[in-house]
Amino acid sequence: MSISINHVSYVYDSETELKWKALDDINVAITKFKMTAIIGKTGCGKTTLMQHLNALLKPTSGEVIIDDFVLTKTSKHHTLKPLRKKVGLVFQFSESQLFEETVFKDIAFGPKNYGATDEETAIKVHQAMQLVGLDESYIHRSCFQLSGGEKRRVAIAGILALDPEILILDEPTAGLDPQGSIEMMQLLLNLKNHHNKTIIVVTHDNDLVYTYFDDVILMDQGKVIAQNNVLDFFEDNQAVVLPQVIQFKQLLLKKGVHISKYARTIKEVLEEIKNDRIR
Amino acid sequence: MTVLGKYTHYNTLLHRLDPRTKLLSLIIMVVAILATTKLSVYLFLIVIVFIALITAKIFRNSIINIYKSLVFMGLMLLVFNVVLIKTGTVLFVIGNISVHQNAIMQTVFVWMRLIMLLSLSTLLTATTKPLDLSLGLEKSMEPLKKWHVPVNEIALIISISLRFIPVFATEAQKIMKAQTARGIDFEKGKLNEKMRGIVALLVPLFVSAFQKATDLANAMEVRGYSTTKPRTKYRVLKMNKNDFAFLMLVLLIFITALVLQYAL
Repeated sequence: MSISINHVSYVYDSETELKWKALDDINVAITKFKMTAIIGKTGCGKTTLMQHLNALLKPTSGEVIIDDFVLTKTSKHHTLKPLRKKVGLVFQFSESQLFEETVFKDIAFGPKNYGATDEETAIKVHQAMQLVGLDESYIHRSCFQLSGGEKRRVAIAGILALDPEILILDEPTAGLDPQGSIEMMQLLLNLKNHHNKTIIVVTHDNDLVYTYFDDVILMDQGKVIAQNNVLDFFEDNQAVVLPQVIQFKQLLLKKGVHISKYARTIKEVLEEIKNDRIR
Repeated sequence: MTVLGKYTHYNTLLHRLDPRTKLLSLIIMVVAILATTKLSVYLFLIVIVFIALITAKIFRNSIINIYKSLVFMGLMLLVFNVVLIKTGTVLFVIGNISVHQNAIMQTVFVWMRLIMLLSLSTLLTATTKPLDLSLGLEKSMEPLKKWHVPVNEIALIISISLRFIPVFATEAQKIMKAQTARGIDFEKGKLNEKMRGIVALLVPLFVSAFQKATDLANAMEVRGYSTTKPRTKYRVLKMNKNDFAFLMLVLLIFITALVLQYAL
């Protein structure tokens, strides 16, 4: 049981003069039950790749395999819906998709579309709200009176209520303050550690990637140019902007203080220094 | 997908003409089409229209789709005319319905009119950039300022709406995808599913439209935009001799059409 993308290419507007190859022979395997970050410059194909995982786009050539689903150019329309339930997709600025009068109704939209009964829906909505940290008082509030961060939680809850096995998020921290970003990451960690979800995130923020993620996929101009676990990726790869913690460790190294690669936050770095002193 | 009358870039004479020339020509041609009723005039005009479409290189794909959208309407019209119009000689009889000459003629006339009007308006929008078009409209309306018509405001409204069509198209597509991910099948879903989908699409779209309108208004205000003060233009329109020659040609067609209609 796995997620793998084999020789996938995708061409936008293939029949016109504007045709543009967004994905070029992508080969990637994503480990389940881990947090994987897809990083790369704007326009490198991250979002296009992400949309393939939930069949919003079908590959122009190649295949996407998610457990026993195989998505190709010729996949039949009616086979896609179960895949969309299995793979939840949260778009960038997902708060813009809210439309119902109350938080409850909006989160209930997804489960109802998949044919859940009212009782099942209510249970799922409550679970999802709990996961994203919205308490009961929010149930009857209007989506449009919430703050940006709260709206985004509602949008994510709307996807979590579908109970997807795999959760994909496009820039979930864009536009959030540092505290909000950290809370978002802790939410994702919780989903991975305690609810057995596979988390795939498209992001620009290397600091968050370094601290919270397991694996990294680096893309450039429609190709995957590197894939590795986070620790080795940032140790080896000099081309990307280094996370602040690594920059800090390098400065320390210049002063003769060696910190192991397992220290991923400033706090952990300080711990190590303290422990060294004690020894 | 080809959008109806979307601007497509080619370097043809019609693309290079001043937008005012094209607007004026469109008006003249529309008057010519609506003021005439003879088959000979229509044949003459439709040939002219097709020549224009071919020279502007938009005959290929987009225009065919537009004609396809007319087929259903045309067939309905044919049915109504056959049932309702009972003048002229009887051409043939199907069952107990007699088909009269005037019913067929009337239908053919309306078809030709629709085809010509649609082709001409497509011709204008497909060969003129939206911003040039609104600039042309503004310039053509300038004389109306004397009668206190708010020309600048109208032009601003037109250019903002044109500018935001692609923005909202992208936005709509994004929201559709987001709702598809939440289980709505916009393509092949059942009717009530599609209805729910439309609500889930339109509400966020309106919210974002109002949001964008507020942002734009604020952005313009902080940069000191005012419609009451005289403004200079980055792009200046200039008619050259091609424009005058083209207008003469259009006038010539207009006169020919009228002569064919009334003098012969």
